[in-house]
Amino acid sequence: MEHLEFRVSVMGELLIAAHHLYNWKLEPDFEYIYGHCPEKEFFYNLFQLSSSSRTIKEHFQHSEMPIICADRVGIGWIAQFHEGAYYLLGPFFTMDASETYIRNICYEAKFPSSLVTSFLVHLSLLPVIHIQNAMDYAVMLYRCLYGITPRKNDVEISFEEGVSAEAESWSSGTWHGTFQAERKMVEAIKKGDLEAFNEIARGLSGAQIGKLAGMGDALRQTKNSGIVFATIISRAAMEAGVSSEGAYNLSDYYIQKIEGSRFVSDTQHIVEEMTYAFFQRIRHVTANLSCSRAVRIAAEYIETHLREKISLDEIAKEAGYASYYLSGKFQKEMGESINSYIRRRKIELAKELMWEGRKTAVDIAEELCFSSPSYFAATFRKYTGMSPTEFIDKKENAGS
Amino acid sequence: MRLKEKANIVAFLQDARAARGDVWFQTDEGDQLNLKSVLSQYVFISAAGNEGESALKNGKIVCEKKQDYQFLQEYLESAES
Repeated sequence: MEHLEFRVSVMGELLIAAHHLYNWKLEPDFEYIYGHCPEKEFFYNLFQLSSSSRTIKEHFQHSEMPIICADRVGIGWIAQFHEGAYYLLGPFFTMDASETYIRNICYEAKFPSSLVTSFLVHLSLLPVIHIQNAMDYAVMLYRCLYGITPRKNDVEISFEEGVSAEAESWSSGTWHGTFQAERKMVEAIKKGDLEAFNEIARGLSGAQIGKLAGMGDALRQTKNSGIVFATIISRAAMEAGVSSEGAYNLSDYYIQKIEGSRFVSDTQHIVEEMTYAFFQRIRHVTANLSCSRAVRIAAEYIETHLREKISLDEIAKEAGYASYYLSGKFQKEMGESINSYIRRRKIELAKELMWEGRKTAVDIAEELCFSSPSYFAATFRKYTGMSPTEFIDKKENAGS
Repeated sequence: MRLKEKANIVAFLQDARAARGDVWFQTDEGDQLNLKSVLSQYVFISAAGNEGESALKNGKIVCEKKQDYQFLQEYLESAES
C-alpha cells in the first residue's frame, strides 16, 4: 500500500507541476481522506454537490475502468476506484467551459456581483484540460493504481447536458489557440516541417479548431475538429504543390474514416495518420521540385492514385505527353522506371499500413490493388528484403 | 430566516434540491440566488468561505413554500433568534 501511495503521490506532484491538475482520495461514501488542491474545502463541497459525484458512484458499481465526467457547467473530474477508495484528478474545465463562459452565465442570470467575484476567483485556479489529454491522464491514473495500461477506448466519458449556450462570448482564452498560431501551423504544413507543426499543435492542445457540437458529445466534437483540420491541411497541401485532386482525395478518404470511427481515441489516431499522410505527400512534392513539370505531374498522379490500378497511359495523359516519351523522361530524372516507382511507393504505403497493425497483409494487398496476395508478397520481398509476415513479426518484436 | 452558523452547507443544499418549492438566498441588498440551480449552489458555497468572512451572514434563506421552512429547519435559525 505504501508503494502505491508513493506512486500516486509522485504522479500527483507531476500533474500539479505540469498542469495544475489536482488529486484527491476519498472514502467509498466520499468522506475526505486527502486532497492536494488549493481552496480544497470549496472544491470538495463542489464535488459533493455536482452530478459528477453521483455519476462516479454509479459507474463504479458496474465497472472497474476509469471515468471522465463533467457537470452541466463544464467542470470535469477524472476518477478511478481502487481497493476501497476513490482517486480523483480535478477539478478542471473541459473544452466547452471556461471562466469567461461561466462569468457570462452568472451575469445573464443577474447573480449578486459580490458573490460571483468570490466564485470566479476560485474558478481561476482551474486548468483547461482537453478531452484527449483527460483520457491520457485517466489511463495514467489507472496504470498508477493497477500497474496495467488500459485501452483508451475503455475510458468512460460522461458529460452532462450543458447550461444554455446562447451567450456568444463564452469562449475561453485558450479557444482556437490564437489565429496567429494557426497561421504558423499552416506555414509549417506548407513547408512539410512536421517537427515545427507538432510543436505548434502541442501549444494549441488546450484549444480546439472549430467547435461545432454542443456540450455532452465528446466523440462528435473530436470528429468535427478532425474534419475541420482535414480541410485546413488539404488547403495548405495544395499551396505546397500537391495537386487539388490529390489533396481532395486524401482528405475525403480520411474524413470518411473519421466519420466511421466509434471512439474518441480512434478518431485521434486517424487524425494523426492523416497528418502524417499529408506531410508525406508534401515532402514528395517538394523533393521532386528539381524535376521537370511532366515528371512532377506524373509523380503526383501516382501518389494520388496509389490505392488504385495505375496505367502508364493514364499517367501520360495527365502529364500531357506520349507514353514512350514520358517513360524515358521519368527514368532519366527519377532514376527508375515508372512501373518500378509505382511498385515501390505502393510497398512503402503497405509498410505504413502494416505498421499501424489494423489490417492484414491480404487486406492491404487488395486495398493497394495488387493482382494477388502472392504477387504482393513477392513484390514486398523484392523491395524490402523480407516477406510481409517477417515484417509484421519484426514490428511486433520491436514493440514487445 | 438566516442559516445557522455551523450549518452543514452541502447537506443544506442537497436538501434544498428536494424542497417542494424554490429556495432562495436573499442578500441584505435584495439580490437573490435560487438554490435549486447548480450554478447558484456553487456560487453559494463559494460565498460560505471561512467562518469569519462568510458572506452568508449578510443574507437570509427564503422559501417559496412555507412547509419548506420546516423541511429545512435543522439548518435555519429559529424565527425568534
